Amino acid sequence: MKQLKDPKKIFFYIVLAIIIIAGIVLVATKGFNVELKYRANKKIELAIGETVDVSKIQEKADEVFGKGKSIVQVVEIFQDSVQITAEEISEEQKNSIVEKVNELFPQEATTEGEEPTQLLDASKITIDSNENARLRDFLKPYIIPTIVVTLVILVYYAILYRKLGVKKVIIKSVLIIVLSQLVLLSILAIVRFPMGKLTTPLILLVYVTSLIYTSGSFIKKAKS
Amino acid sequence: MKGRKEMKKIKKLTIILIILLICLISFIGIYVEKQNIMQNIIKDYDLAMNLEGYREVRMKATDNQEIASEKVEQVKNLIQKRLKTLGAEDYLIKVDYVTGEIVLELEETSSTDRIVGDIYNAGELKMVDSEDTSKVLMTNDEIKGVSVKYSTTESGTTIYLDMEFTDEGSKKIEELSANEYKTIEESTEETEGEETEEATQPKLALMIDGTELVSSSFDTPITEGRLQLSLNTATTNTTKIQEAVISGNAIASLLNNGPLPIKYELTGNTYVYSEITEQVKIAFIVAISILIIIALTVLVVKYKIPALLTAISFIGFIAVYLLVLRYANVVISLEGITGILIILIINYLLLQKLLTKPTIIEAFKEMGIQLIPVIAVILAFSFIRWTNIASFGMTMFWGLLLTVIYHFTLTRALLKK
Repeated sequence: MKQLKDPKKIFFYIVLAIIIIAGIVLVATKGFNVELKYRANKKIELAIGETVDVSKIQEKADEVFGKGKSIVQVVEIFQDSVQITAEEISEEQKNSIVEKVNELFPQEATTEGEEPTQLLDASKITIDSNENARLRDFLKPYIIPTIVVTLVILVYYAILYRKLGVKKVIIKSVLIIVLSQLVLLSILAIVRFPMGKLTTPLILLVYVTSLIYTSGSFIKKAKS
Repeated sequence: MKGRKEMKKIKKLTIILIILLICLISFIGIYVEKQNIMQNIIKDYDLAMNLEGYREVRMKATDNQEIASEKVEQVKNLIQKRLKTLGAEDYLIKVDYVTGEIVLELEETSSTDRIVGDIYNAGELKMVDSEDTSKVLMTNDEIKGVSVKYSTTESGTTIYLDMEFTDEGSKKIEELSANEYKTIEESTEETEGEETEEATQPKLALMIDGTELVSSSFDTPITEGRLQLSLNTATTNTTKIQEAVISGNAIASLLNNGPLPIKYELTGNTYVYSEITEQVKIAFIVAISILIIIALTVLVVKYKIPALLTAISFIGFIAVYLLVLRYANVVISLEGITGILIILIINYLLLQKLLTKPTIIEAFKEMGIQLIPVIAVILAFSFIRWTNIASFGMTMFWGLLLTVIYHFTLTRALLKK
């Protein structure tokens, strides 16, 4: 009861509750903002034939698809081709990007008086479709080891800090571990952080931090 | 007394110089002229697919097939099982449930080409008559399991496939090996002046996806429901043995997981570099370096001279840690970078404790108890066959091990009053 009367703590819990509720509402209504690479997308591959400066192609892609709405990646071992990924690529957009890339790499006419040939021929470039990757597919390998190790840690806490009350220790640990993850996912949902390659590193960072925090708080309590 | 003080000063200065040298080696490298080019001889980092690049494999269902989403899901699960048995430790699979098209992003290793070559095969096994391949005698349904085994004799090692049949399959193979495909004994009698017509030996052929793997007749009937098929002639050549094991594992992976319900063809096989470019990596390193400088400045302002020495020690720790990660062949992924950052945070907190606690042992004791759950995570994650998880575990494993060794030796000597 004493703890609940602390206005700072009450404020902290209210903020946490608001963040989690807002996160749940956003996920339920809009879902997470999934990174373009993991969403259903379209791709085109452009064979440039010389080492490519990705930033220049990215500039052109931004002009066609809008800033941050496409990914340009170098492909093949000689780094002389690029792959452009966007949520949707229409024929017009394909033609436009090909035209812009052709401008970046002007070709010389082979015979005098003739029009120089273009590096890329839009009619020969196909648009490939990619389906989305399931978020649960790339979280799957983490689930079992994390659950197992968390259970082992809970048993360890319950034994080591049994004087603080086994039930209390377990409930507090679970709450801290779960709530910290919920807060993280809610924040990611609220700020529309793109879920993808950075999601698992962030989850792991928060997970380990929550373990260090719980351990530290039990040590402190046991000492007092 | 004065001489002892001088000695201590010299000792500390030597340690600082050693740290400086390690920093130069780790952050800049050692450059040696090789074929008129200056090359850094310090080993490079092993990067995972989310930092380096990956193989993008496209598989399309061949024409005139019925594509149902259940079948495609089945294909996806089978491909995942095959990837596991073929040793793929990091991949991403994207499936189009309408067209059946599959895009697989696979980590680039020495076995990627082999995996790509095997992954889309239907894995249809048929045991047929070697002369008349339309005569199908057994299929995948009669196979219970396949494993790769070896036997070593004086002449060398033979790798073989050990096929275990189901009850029904056992009966069939016993019947076939005892009758139709029993080895015909060669007649030793010669008939003078008469030419006898040689009876052709019927053989049972094992075919996978229409390709004959081996054909044989049987000297004795197969009565125990197991058939051993050798994949090489006895050899002591390790490369040949390895090749036979790899090929055996590929066959076992195809047969153990069952055939794909949809036939596929490979339509794309490209190496794609990570979208995390060199510029992004440099920007990240700069950002982290700035954060470290700020954190160390705070420490120095708060604890003055001793903190300056711990700051030097901390930078030295980073340098040694990065060298250890390179030479311990730890694969660095984004998760691994997270592990590195956690280790740096732990070390920063530890250094703070070193400045406030009377002895290094006390500081370690307090920090150590708090870190026991983290050690449990490291132990659990380090041995998981999934590159990103193992990277997280291994970076932290080496980090914690080094934390103990480094601070008990260098930092302790540096802070000794």
